[in-house]
Amino acid sequence: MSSVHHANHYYGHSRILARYCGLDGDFPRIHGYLQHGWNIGDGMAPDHDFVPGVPLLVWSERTRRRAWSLGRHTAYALGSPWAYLLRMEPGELREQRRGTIWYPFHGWEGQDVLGDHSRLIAQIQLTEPGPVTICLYWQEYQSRRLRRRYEQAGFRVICHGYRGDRWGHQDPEFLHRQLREQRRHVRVASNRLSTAVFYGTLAGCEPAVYGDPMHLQRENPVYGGQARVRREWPEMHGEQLDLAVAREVAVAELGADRLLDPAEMRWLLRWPTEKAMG
Amino acid sequence: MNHPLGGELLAYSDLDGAHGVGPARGEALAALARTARGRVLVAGPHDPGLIDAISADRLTLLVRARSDADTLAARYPAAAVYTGDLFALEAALDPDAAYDTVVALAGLDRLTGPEADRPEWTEVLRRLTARLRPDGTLLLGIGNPVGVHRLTAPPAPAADQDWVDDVGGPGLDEVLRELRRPVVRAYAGFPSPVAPTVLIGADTPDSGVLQAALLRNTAVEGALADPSRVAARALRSGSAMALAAAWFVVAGSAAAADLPSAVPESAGSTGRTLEESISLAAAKRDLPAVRELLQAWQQGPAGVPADQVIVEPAGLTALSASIEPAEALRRLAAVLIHNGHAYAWPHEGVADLTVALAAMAGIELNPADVPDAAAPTWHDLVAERDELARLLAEAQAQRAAYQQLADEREQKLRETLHLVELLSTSGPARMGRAFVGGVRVARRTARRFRLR
Repeated sequence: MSSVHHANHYYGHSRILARYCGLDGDFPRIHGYLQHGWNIGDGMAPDHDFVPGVPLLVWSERTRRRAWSLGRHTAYALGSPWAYLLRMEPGELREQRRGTIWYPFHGWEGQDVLGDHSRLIAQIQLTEPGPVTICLYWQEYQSRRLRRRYEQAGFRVICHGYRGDRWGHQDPEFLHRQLREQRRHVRVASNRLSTAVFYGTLAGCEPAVYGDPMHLQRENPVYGGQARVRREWPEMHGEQLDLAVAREVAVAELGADRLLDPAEMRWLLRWPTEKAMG
Repeated sequence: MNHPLGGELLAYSDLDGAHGVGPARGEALAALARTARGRVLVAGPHDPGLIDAISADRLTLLVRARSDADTLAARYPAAAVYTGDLFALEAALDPDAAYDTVVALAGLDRLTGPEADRPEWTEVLRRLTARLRPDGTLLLGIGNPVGVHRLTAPPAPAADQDWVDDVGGPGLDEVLRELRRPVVRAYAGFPSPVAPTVLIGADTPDSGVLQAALLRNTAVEGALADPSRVAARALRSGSAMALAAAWFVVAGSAAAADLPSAVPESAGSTGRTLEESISLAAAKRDLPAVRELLQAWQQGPAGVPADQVIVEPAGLTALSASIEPAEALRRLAAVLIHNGHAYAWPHEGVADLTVALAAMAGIELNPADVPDAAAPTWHDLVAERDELARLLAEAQAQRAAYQQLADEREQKLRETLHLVELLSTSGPARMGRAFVGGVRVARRTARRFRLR
């Protein structure tokens, strides 16, 4: 239980859903475990605790089916907060899209990434036709050496922000920042099929997945790892992808085809109804 | 004209329903009775409403209870009314009497009395049709020993009519073979063997109209399961005949065209009921389809129960009157939960699912406004008990988890407050520092003591 609800607030997810439902205020408590990143398991982080009767709030129907098969029978597909954000902010920036936003596969607070960044940089330079923005995870962004390496290759290096933690260091602007950045770019790319690639695709970028996928420290491919990702989503791998197909996949994986109206979401998350809000 | 035959029952009636299941009756059977022609023998207890539907040139009625004979003789003065045992009828009739139609929709086991052993059904059938012309028509009802009404019935005491136990009669195939006449039509009757409201022909396809007609019958209180739901499921899988409460057979020379293919007539309607459409979509977890159906319902015939609404390409068609819209939603929620189609929702019982269904249609319902209702059948009762057990176990697990979370936070808060005090200059903090100072002095003292 210790790590249950705070993950609902990562990336300002709960704030986005609250805004969608017409709720003001700080981070509202959600009755459920909200999926906070794309994954190939039951939608939750591998170290997630579960309490009976607390629903899993997953992004897609496919993840819901998989979660059920893994014994999680109370999952409900509601779509990703990202898809709701895009619904609320459909306007493209006037600014012309240019270049590629590139997300090197990142570690997280518990695991570092091991791999050859120089080789990756060379491949990006060879593949990307326009200017490249490298987006690093906050942890890696703090490494001046790593930042410098990408900058010296002529890339712009950014970070979308801090995803949040248990004790309230939340960043409600994270996804807004990410959306603004992605809408400035023609392409979105990474060396692993990941949340950011799907986000970018839904936000109108042309996706690409190529390059050394690197390794996670103590990587435990409990759900089949990279090999399975390539097997299940071959259409999302390559330097140039079929855009229509990629978009369809992104819509399904981010649950953009299954968004709830606010009334249903308020019921699901056990939030006050419109009447109760006055 | 009233003719006692012997073997008649006194102080007893099949028509009043007080001593058994009552007479064959209802509009559905009247639709069959209308095909009776010419000289007609009606044998066994038939409701006058049914006899009224028969247009006979000459009418002969046979019942086994004297009071029923009196009732019928008064109502049909032109008819010949015989009272008593079918086996005694033969001797009482004119030697050359022959019937164009024999109507025995109440079955074969109420044509004889307690004065003799109960005869074999084949013998009863032979006697019943002994005077039927070779080109005549037989309208026969036969109870199904494994009909849905029996499969779902709770144990019940025997009635006056059961002076010997019913050990189950023949199956339909056996009956049809024994008729020795061509079968014009055979129907599965639901939900009751004597008062069916729905007749489904042997080759009638499943349809929303028939599903709705089956479900219009409310479940008998105390039934093991709702027979109408079992019947509806049987119809869906093409097994209506096997589970019929009774079979109704028209054999002989009647024209098939004069008979309905089903009651109610369902030809031409291909739509499913809204309840079935939503159940199927929920089973497939096609929640976008569920939302669409719920929205169409709530923006259209919102108060009509979902099992009485037909989904057609052009829109929704209501087959019955409206009730409270919240009650209609509650019934749908209960059906989904009781029949295993509610796994799509992380719901907390019937009232909560009712609120969820409304929300999917964009309507925010207060849980307090959801009507209360008890589960009418044992099946539903068990389903609700299991639901409540699940909810209780979940609530207990959640309480324990929240308790742990609260403990952790309290500990963290205590540590934080202590830190704040140490860092501030307030009174308690000064005392804290003084205490820490005191500890240091004590430690030094102890060390010195040991050195000695």
